Amino acid sequence: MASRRVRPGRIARRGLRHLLAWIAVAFALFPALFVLGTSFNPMNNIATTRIVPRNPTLANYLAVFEKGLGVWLLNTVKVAGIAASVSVAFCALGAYAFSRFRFRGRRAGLLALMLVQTFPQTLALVAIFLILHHIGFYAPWIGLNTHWGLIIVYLGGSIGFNTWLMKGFFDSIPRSLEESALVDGATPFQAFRWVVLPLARPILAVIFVIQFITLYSEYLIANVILKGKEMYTLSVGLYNLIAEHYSDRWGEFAAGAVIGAAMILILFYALQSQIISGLIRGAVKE
Amino acid sequence: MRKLMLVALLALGVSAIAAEPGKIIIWADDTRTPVFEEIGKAYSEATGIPVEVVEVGFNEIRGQFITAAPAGEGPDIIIGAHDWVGELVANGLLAEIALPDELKAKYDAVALEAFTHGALYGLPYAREGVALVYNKALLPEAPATFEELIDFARDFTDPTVPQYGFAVQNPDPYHEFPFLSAFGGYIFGYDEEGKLNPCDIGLDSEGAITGAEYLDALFEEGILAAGMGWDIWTGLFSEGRIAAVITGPWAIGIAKGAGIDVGVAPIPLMKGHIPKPFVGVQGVMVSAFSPNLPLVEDFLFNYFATVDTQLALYERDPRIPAFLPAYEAVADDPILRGFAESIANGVPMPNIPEMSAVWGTWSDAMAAIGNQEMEPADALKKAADAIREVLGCK
Amino acid sequence: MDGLGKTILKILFLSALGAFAIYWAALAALAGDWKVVPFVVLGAAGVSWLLLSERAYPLRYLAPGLLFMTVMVLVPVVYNIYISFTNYSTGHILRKDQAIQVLTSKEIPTSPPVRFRFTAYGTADYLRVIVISTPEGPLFVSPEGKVMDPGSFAAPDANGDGVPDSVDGYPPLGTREFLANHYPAVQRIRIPWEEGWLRLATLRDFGYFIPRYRYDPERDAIIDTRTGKVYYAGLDRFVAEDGEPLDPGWPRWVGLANYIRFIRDPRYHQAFGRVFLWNVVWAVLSVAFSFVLGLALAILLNDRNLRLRKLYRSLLIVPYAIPAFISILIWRGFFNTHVGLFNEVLKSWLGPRAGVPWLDDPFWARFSLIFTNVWLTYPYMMLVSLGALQAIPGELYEAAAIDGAGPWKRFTTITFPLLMVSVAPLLIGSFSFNFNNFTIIWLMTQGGPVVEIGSQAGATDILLSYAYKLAFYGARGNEYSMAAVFGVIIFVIVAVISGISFTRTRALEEVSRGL
Repeated sequence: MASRRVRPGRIARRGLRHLLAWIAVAFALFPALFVLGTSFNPMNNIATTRIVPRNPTLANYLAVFEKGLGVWLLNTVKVAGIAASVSVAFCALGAYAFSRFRFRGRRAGLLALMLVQTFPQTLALVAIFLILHHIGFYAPWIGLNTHWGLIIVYLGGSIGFNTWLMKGFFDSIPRSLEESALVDGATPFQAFRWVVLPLARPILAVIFVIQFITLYSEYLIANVILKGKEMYTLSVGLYNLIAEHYSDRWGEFAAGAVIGAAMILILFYALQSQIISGLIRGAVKE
Repeated sequence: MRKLMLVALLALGVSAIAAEPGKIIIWADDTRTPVFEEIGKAYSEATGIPVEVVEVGFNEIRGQFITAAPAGEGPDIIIGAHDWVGELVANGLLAEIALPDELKAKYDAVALEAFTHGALYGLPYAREGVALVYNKALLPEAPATFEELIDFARDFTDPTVPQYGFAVQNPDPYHEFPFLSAFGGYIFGYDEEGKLNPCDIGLDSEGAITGAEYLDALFEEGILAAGMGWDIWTGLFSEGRIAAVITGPWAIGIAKGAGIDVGVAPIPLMKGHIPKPFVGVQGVMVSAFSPNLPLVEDFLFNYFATVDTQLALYERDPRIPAFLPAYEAVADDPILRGFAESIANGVPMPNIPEMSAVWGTWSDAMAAIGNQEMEPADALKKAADAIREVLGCK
Repeated sequence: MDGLGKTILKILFLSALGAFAIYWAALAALAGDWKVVPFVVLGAAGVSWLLLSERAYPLRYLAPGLLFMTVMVLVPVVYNIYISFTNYSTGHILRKDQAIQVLTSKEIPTSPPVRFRFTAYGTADYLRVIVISTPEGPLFVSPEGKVMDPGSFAAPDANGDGVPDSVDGYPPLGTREFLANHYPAVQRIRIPWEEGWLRLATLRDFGYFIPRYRYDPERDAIIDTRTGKVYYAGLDRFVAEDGEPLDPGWPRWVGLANYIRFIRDPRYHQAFGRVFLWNVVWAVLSVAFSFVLGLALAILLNDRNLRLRKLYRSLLIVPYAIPAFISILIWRGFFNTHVGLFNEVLKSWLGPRAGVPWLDDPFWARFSLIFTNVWLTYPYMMLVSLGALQAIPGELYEAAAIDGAGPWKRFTTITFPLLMVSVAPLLIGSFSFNFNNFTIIWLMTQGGPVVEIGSQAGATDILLSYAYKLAFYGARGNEYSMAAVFGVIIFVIVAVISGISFTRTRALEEVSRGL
């Protein structure tokens, strides 16, 4: 679609684009650089925060690992990884049904899916605690203070919007390919699994990343469900590390946040090619 | 048989960490956890009773305990502050503690009183309150009167540097209370029986207003900066940019960590009146739903209420021990003595649940005073009236 | 997979499901929790129907998600609505039987304490008897707490100290052994004694205690054993005839009383309109600004001819990768009027008197909040827009190019409408998330600055933070039921706004179906 001729305005425009990108990057990074600087700052205090600290040190990193950061990271990857993967699978199934099947209660179901999700979760904490308490009596491995319990809470909370988002995406995928598969004798599920899902890879990846990051920094629910340092997820661990210690542990907290953020960036970098795959264009052109 | 099958079926799962007979579970914050782990281990070795210490953030403990205890998911022992007692007792969540007389005599009477709400509901371990904390490099001697301190600050303060001769955390009624109390202000008065009367609100009493005007003048002159939050002033203090501040023992570690040589003294007399800081007491409380009261009492009386344990807690978090033998062992520390002398003038922070209706509104009034938006008398009158209305005292 | 394999798989799965259902039903029945049994049975039946009926075919796709949503989202909503019709609050959080249990287990300690040594006889697995040495001679107590006839035991006592050397051949147990194996049973024992009871008081002694309160089930009343004062069970606690109440109480159904209180009591609704207005402005502007920024960046980075775009994309999601509560605190530090970075910069440029009251003035506090929230939210918008841009078939652009449409025309006629199909619901979702974004408000300003003393609502309070203040700084600590009322009101408001927006997206869906 883009023409290959070099026009005089083109170079200027390209330069402008890089300039804009760099301004945006500066906006994004500037507070983050303070976190980075603080993580090397021996002063351990928010007011002494600066980008380049005096007497930089690794002590904060060592200290926060000593306090259990390694375990918290593993727990977080486990909880957020499983919950996000399963959530994507469930959402894809649900979204496909909403997008392709015509059944009674479809509109109402969609609406309910959206509306139920608008309830403020802050107010649902006590109920979630009690539900897990009851579930835990019958199935202790998904009760209070278990990672699986937390995972099922996260699964419930994440389905609504993501199903919506994915349904919108499925709606914009042309049906011609599936229809030809159906004509060739595929079942609807096979059409979904082998035709639609591969086309939907970018949005699956996007939702996975969004879901993973959201759960990665969720602490309100996790804090109520998980007890004891070995069970903590990263954000609960960091939150409890800094609560009541805004002054003397700021550096350790920042170090934990830097490592946590680095993990996310690595994940995102690795999944980028999935997100921006251009598969759709290729497939439709065939 | 039925019970046996139930046990067998449940054994398929894992055990949850909730109060169960024969095992002591403690919720403690991360400062106190190591000490409890240590004495818990000693107790387990001596008796075979497992002691599990679960780390819960200090601010989380009360709320999570209220949710967890009635469901049978709570601990046997929690760490907490004395001003939680009123609410927790009203909710029926705390067990009374039968403190033996010989131990009772070893405790600071005010600290025990703070945990008393009809009966004793907690074992105190530390008293705390605010005092004048000063940087000896900038202010070698604590002034005897507040007026001297103001004179010093007039010369020293320069917000453009920034440096401040004197600071108080604000808007923060807890730290600003000594100004009100010095001139006779109070929060709740007492009834004839000596109990706190939630309808006698002294926030707009003559003394409180005089005190607030005294404070207001400092803001007006620019000696005090409005909006001086905890993270801001601790940073400035650590960098040697604040000479003196009204704060508590919890700030000492930060100052020392930054290499500041600190002195601690009672808050100087204000126009000849003694400022009376709030006294807060921290301690342990026992769940009313604990099936382990005999074990818990045995543990607390023989392993917790000891000089060694109290000193270990003091080491980790230098607050004034409520256990007198431990206090005597450390009383020669000038910092501790400074705080102890300051709170000797203090009044216990009210432990009735009605106090929760006071903080927010009072804080708004102090913010309005600090920001020079309202006259102190108007602000406090308005706040007191609003609180009376919430508490149904009109 | 062929039909036979599928059938076998279905049979296997349904058998496993049946086994689990039986296990859970049995567990519930054994625990006496009969209410659970029908749910288990219905659940299992539902799943079977789902797998066997053709009519349930679409539901098979929806069931996994719906199950978790029902349990973890719908049930809390229903619970919350239920709480809003009760007086669940400080002093009313236990069940009535728990309140009675708490009251009747209160004891008056005797002074000085009366303590009797006890010895337990048995093995690690079996407790034969407990012998308590009272001044009136040894008391033989069964593990169930019954006082037994000493004559029915063979209890030789060679030294005559009243403590048998063995009972029925069982040796005395050491303290450790006793605690490790028999403590759970023995701690429950209450042996009637004088005016009260004996119970395990220390590791080695039983003690004498007098209960403070007695429960009389006939009159449904609590009686103070010292004064004889009777507290009759009211609707939500025990109250004496002179009106003196007894804590703790229990919650009761109050019907619409909390809602009526909300309407009648100016404390609750006075500031409502002001808070609501800001709440809507806050959510709309947060979503609008972050979406515009996120979409612009997505379009910028979606151009494959842009070098370094992978790097840009990675760096641009940094705000999203840092847990929000840490970056909010950093921003709050920047905005501080006295020592914050922004004012320091302003001062260095414009002189010492310069500076903006970022968080101390209503307008600037709102500005600062939205600014921070845009920083926090745009990466999400960028990510979603990136995903959605991929879904737009390239052939449409080619067709448009042939028609001679310019970039702006292509954006307004193709990109934006198609993008909105998948992104519109997400914007509604983001709106409702930000409408209730408690964390950022609480960490940045706690709802401040103050608008009026005595009104809990500050200039930046949203409904949820306002509700939080009302509920948790209430007259006696917590007023959960009022928080629940606010929860329901907020829920209705957000649901209505979302619902209206939703019907608007219907049009978009029709457009896409035409493709």
